[in-house]
Amino acid sequence: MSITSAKTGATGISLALENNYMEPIASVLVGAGTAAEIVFDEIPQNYRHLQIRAIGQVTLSSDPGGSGGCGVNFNKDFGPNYTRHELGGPGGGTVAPYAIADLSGGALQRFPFRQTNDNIYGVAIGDILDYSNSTKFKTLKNIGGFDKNSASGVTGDVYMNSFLWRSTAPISTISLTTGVWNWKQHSRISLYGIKG
Amino acid sequence: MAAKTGTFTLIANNTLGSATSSVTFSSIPQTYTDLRLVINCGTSTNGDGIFIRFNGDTSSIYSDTGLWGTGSSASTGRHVAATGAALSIATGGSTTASSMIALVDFIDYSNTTTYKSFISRAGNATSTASYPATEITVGMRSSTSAITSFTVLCASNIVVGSTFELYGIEAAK
Repeated sequence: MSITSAKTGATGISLALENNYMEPIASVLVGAGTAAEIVFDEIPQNYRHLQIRAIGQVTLSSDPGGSGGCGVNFNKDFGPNYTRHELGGPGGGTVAPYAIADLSGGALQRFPFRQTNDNIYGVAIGDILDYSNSTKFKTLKNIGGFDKNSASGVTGDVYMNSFLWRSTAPISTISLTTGVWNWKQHSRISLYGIKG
Repeated sequence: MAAKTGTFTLIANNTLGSATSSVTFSSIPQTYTDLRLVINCGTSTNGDGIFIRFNGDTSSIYSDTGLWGTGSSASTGRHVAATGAALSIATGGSTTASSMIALVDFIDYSNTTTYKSFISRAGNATSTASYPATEITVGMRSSTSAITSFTVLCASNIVVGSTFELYGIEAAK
């Protein structure tokens, strides 16, 4: 049996969207200057899942035109308790799978480093499922990337990414860092709660 | 933490009563943080891509990078200096409106300082094994203009019964 909205006729995912299944929790827009770290703390525990929506550029000067992910840590845990997998590519026909264990943080993929053109930002959406339970290890999955409309150098990147945090603790804090670099002005990261 | 101030809001929807090569959403409110477009469509020619243009701009300032799989192999590919960015590189299933579904997110669409990018996740119930069955695409228009309208288009026709729904997503203030 399908359930249909009496208001718009929406079904399935459209019906879920229409019924406000997602609520904004917090949002950070990097202002003049830069930000070394964006932290969401005191995260409410009354949602089923969390979603992170991001647009950003990283001010890495040693690799202009390159790209990478931002670091993600839960509950200020910077120990080797994260395992990450990703699948992606630069649009050149090669798909690059990657996996590494015992990292000191997860990642949200994927953002351009300092660009010749300052207006090019990467975008990413990440979901953290059942973040408030106290019996399971926590997983974040995300998709994201950027395109530079350029035929040379690092032209673009698109990624599917996931990581495991080997802790059963409910997630109450999320830190998004860019190593020794910074989030550039106009980067924005927003956190949402998804109802069960 | 900031107080809750918003949520998903349906801005507009369109169920095609006749086949057409393009669908336009105009006068998009600038009051949200992100947009989400939900597409469920078929194309009259098997394998045609679905593309998007912003603000009526047909110049060659669009690009996209995609990652897709057919069930037997995975690939990435790009369009550069194009007149539209791909939401789905190839839509299979031909004449059925339910052959492709795509969720397209436009992040920070109303700012006037960054080029505008989107992420599209598409799945095709394709009848042709060589066409992408699942794909992710990141596209960009090389302009800092806020997105006030966009047109979804296809080289052939988008079939009767195809649906398009546009939502606004508000971040916490």
